[in-house]
Formats: sequence, C-alpha cells, structure tokens
Amino acid sequence: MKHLSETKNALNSEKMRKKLKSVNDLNFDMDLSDAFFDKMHDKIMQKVEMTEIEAKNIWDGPKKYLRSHYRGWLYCGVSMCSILAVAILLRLHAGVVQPKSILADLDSRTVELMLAAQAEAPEVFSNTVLGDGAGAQFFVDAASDSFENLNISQVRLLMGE
Amino acid sequence: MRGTNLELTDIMLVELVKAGDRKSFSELVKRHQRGLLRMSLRFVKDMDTAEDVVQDSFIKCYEKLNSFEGRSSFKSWLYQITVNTARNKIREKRHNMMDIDDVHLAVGAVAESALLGSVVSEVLTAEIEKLPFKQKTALVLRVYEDLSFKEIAEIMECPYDTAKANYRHALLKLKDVFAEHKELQNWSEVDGGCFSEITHRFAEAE
Repeated sequence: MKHLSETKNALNSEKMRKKLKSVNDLNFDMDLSDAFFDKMHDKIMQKVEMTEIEAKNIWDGPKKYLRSHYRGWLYCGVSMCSILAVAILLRLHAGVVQPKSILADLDSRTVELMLAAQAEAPEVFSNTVLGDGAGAQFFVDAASDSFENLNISQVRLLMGE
Repeated sequence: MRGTNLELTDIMLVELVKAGDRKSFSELVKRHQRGLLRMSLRFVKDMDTAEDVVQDSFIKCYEKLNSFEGRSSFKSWLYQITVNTARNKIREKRHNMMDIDDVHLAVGAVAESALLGSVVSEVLTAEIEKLPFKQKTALVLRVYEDLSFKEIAEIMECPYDTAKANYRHALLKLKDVFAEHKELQNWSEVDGGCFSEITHRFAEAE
C-alpha cells in the first residue's frame, strides 16, 4: 500500500515538474537562430585563443572538498573559535590588576593636609612627603578624584589658587 | 577532426584540450552553449548579460581546466562555474544600479510576456524570482534543466540532501503562492490539478 502511494506521488511529481516546465519554459531555441549560436561560439573561441590554461593549484582540491562537504562544520568551527577568543580576551581583561589609587588608603583629613602642604610649598612637599614615583601618581589620583569627591576648596588648593 | 570529435565524450575532449588541442574546446562549446545560455537567462533575465555570463564561464572553464579532475561530470562542473558567474553578475548589477529591483522586475515581466503571453507564467516567474538564490538554483536545475539531485548537488557544491532540501523549500513556497493567487488556482484546477501535485510533491520530499 505504501509502495503504491509512493509510486503515485512520484508520478504526480513528474507530472507537476513537466507542468511547471511547460508553462514557464523559455523556448528561445525557436527564437534564436543557429547563426546566433555560431557567432557566440566564434566569440568564445576568439577569447580562448588569447587565453592560457592555468597551472593546477594544489590547494584547489582540499578547498573544494572542505567547502562542499564541511561548509556547515566550517561555520560552526569559526563561530566556536570566535566565542572562545572573546572569552579568553574577557578573562584576560578581568585578570588585569587595576592600579590602586594612593588616595584610597588616606582619609579625607590627611588628603586635605597634604594638599595644603603642597599648595604652600610644592617643592618641599615633593621632596619630603612623596617619593620619586609616588609624587606624579599622587597628583594624577588627586586630579581624577577631584571632580567626583573633592569639594571646591580642595580643588582650588590642588590647582594652587 | 570535427567528425571524430562528435563521437568523443566530454571527458575525452577535456583531455585533448589539456594536451594542447584548443580545437577540441570548440566542440565542448558547441555542445553546451545552448543549455548554459538558457540557464543563465533564467538567472539574469537579460539576453546580453546572459551571453556575457556564458562567455565568461567558458573562459573561466578553459583557464581552470587543470582543476577539473573528472570526479563529477564535465557538464556539472561547467554548470557550477556558470551558476557562480551568474550570481556574481547579479551582485554586480545590484551594486551598480540604484534601484535594481524595480528595473529587474519590469524587464523580466516584459520579456516573459513577450515570450509566453501568459498571466500564469508571469506570476510564476515573479514568484520564482523572489526565491533565495540556492532554492531558485535547485528549482531551475531540477525543473528546467532536468538534472538529477546528484548533479544539482555537484553544481551547488553541497551534499545531496541539502540540494533536495533547497528544492523542497522552493516547492513549499510555490505551494503557498498557488494558494494565494486565484489565477494560479484556476489554472491548476483546469489543467490537471497542479496545486494538488505540488502538495503531493512536497509530501514526497518530506
């Protein structure tokens, strides 16, 4: 019974294919003469005369095979690699130790005192209170902090006003 | 030479061309140019462009002849090159024109009208035109070029089942079109129940 149904479907399919073809066929064979095709043939052969056959590329075979048989896997592989790369980058980014602000360890009163001392005698302050590298870092931290935490008088002190 | 060429297979002719006999390529051109032009016209809808596609395809084919290893038939390989060339031409055209869709449909409709003068054909052509390229390729190759799914798979560079699935999806979309368009329903009922045949065909493909 199943076999009969399959045969019937196959016959219907073939009928339908022929129907589609008959209704929508481009019967240009009737419209285009042999002369047209002879002319086209001559044009092609004229170009062929000026063309050389390229040497065989050894990568063509594997490339074609991969493309035709493993296209889906190729896309999956590339997607997985991309996700993996992004994950590694995020992990690396998260692992980077952010430099700790010098101001974080100091209370607000100490910062005020230090800023006042710096405003009064900048050179002495740099040479005594701060070390070599910490001096620059202190001012960078103070500047970045100024717009968020420091009050107006502290900012003015910092600016040397 | 020409008399003997007629008896040779495509593969034999290819071997002769590879050995340096350019004249044998002439026979290959004669054998396949009509089929290629017909298929190209299905994709590009313009005779001049279709001619360009065929010429470019034969030149590419000649240049890359050493890449042809004979795993598939020469015809499949040549059709594969032509389908890719046609696709590139369509992309090129889309890129060059401001509003390709309007122009394209207008030209297609006029050309089809002149060739067939049928409403059914026009609707069908427009609907086939809307299909994604892969589905359209599978449909054109199967319905209009009478190729097997094995050959279609070779041409489309995809597995057998994928070629069949593309064809099946194209049929499914056409089935919806038949359901939507009154003129197509009438035609299908009068001329042998094409609508029901599509339904059967889809059931078979599933």
